[in-house]
Amino acid sequence: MNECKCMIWKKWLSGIYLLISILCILPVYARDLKIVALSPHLTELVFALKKSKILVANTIQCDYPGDAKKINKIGSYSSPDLEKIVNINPDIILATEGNSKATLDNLRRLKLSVQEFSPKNMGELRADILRLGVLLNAEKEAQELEKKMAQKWESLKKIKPGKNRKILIALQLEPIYAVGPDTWLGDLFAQAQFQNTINAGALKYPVVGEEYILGHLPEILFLTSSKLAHAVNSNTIKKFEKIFPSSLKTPQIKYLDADIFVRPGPRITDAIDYLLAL
Amino acid sequence: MSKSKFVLFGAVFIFLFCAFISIQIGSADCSFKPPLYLLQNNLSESCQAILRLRVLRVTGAMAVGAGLSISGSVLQRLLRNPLADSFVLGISSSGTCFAVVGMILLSALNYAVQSFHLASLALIGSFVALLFLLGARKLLKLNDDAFALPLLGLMINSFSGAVLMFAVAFLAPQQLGEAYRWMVGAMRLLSEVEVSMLWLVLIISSALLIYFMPALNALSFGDEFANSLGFHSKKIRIYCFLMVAILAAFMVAAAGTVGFVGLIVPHFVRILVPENARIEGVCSLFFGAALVSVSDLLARTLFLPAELPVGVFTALIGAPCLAVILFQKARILRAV
Repeated sequence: MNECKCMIWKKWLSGIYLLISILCILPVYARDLKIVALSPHLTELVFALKKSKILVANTIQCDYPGDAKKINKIGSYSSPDLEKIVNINPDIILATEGNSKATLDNLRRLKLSVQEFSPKNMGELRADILRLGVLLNAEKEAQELEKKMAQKWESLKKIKPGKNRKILIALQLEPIYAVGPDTWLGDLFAQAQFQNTINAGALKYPVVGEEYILGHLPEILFLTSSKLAHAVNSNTIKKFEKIFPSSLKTPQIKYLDADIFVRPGPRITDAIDYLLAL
Repeated sequence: MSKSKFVLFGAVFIFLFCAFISIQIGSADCSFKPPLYLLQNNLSESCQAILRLRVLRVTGAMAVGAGLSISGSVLQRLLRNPLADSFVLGISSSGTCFAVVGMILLSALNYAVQSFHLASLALIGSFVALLFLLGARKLLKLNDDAFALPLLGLMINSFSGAVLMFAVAFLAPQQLGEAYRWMVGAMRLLSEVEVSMLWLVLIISSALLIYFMPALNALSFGDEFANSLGFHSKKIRIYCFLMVAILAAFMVAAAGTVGFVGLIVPHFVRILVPENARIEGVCSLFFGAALVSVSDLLARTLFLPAELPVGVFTALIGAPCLAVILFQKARILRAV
């Protein structure tokens, strides 16, 4: 009889213990994750996956979409403020290659979860989107976005708007910072069947001389420009065009919106549309 | 043939040889038949354009090298300091500082910044440093230039360095590359007019400095000794400082801060011709031009398609050379 009573008490106690445990854990699951994005492309991806509510901080360079500007800023993309991040105590920090390595190492030392996303090509970006979807509990949205990108990518590879035309992609003209083939932009243009005049070398973004350009005679010069850039001006262009004698064909100059082309984010579909229209 | 003449002919030969290979080799694949490059009618249009760019580049680099070397040679005698070169007076760093700060201010005013503006600012900066040196010298009634001017130069260098570091923090990402090239020293594309100006300044300043070389030789033993030989030491000092500053200003405007050339070339030449000051000056011109043209050749061809700043290679070649010269001098001194 006593044993039976004891068993009932044990069951009651176990039940109460289980209930208390659930009540303790529940708030952690119930409260939303706190995310910090250390790159504009990661901020854009979080917005594209419809998880902007859990994005508690980003960098001063994160300016798209418009609402991203209103989010708490933790410093710049290249040197985020360690103290501000620690003060927020985020569940996940989304980082990328250009962030200060020392800051990321310090954050890891403080047992914060740092997840790096540095896609080098479209395949890696699509994989990154799916991984981000799992991290942010937005698998469905991630799969939709990845599918949309895959379709665009396939159409780019199929149509091949480049038609083997020789091109030079430049970040700026004074000095001429060119884009090499082993880069995000280089790969994008290679897939579109453009022929980059910059050969694979030791540097991803080499400074090239005027003589090199004259020796390789690109048909098109793609020049990146952004709201921040004031390197692109008519005098710089005139100076560049002066390199070519009147008898030689001066490259056609086309401007690329740096925010769309350089950021490996959801707007890359717009970049593909631009290339398809060429 | 005397040793001095032999060294002089050697310097001219090396100068011509370096000019030849620098024009012959480049990033674009074009073969020219020396020596009458510009008279070759059978060259394709693109090869002619490439040749024009290369000649401008090589002549610009050679002028920079010659200017820096003669400045170093003069300053080492003038200041009686074997480590003196045109940077010791702070003229180069002030020029670079003006160029970089100007880049930020002009951009802030939404003004389209061009390399021509930066070169002009570098020139102004160099002259501001020169005026400061001459003003401070007069105001403080400093008599010992060998002691006072390097100290004032050190002050300008430290101040310009601090301003530069401060300014770099405010630069937009796309301007960092340009600022870096100014600070390290890189040849930019000069026009025919700019190269002609550079050579004109070089020829006039060098001719005057070489003319003053025997006086500078006497000055290196002290002002009293020079005065006793009939030289007007104070006037010569001011003329020489002025010439060196003008040279440094134009060289900085053309290529930024190219280091080590003014330091090692005069030391190297002094080993070859220790007695003759004028021959030392002339040889420094030729060897300096050869050193910078070879450094520039390496800078534009070694890591193709990338082009590296010429200052990197002058330092890479210069530092070990300086070490060799020092060891050699130490060995000679021990033997004595």
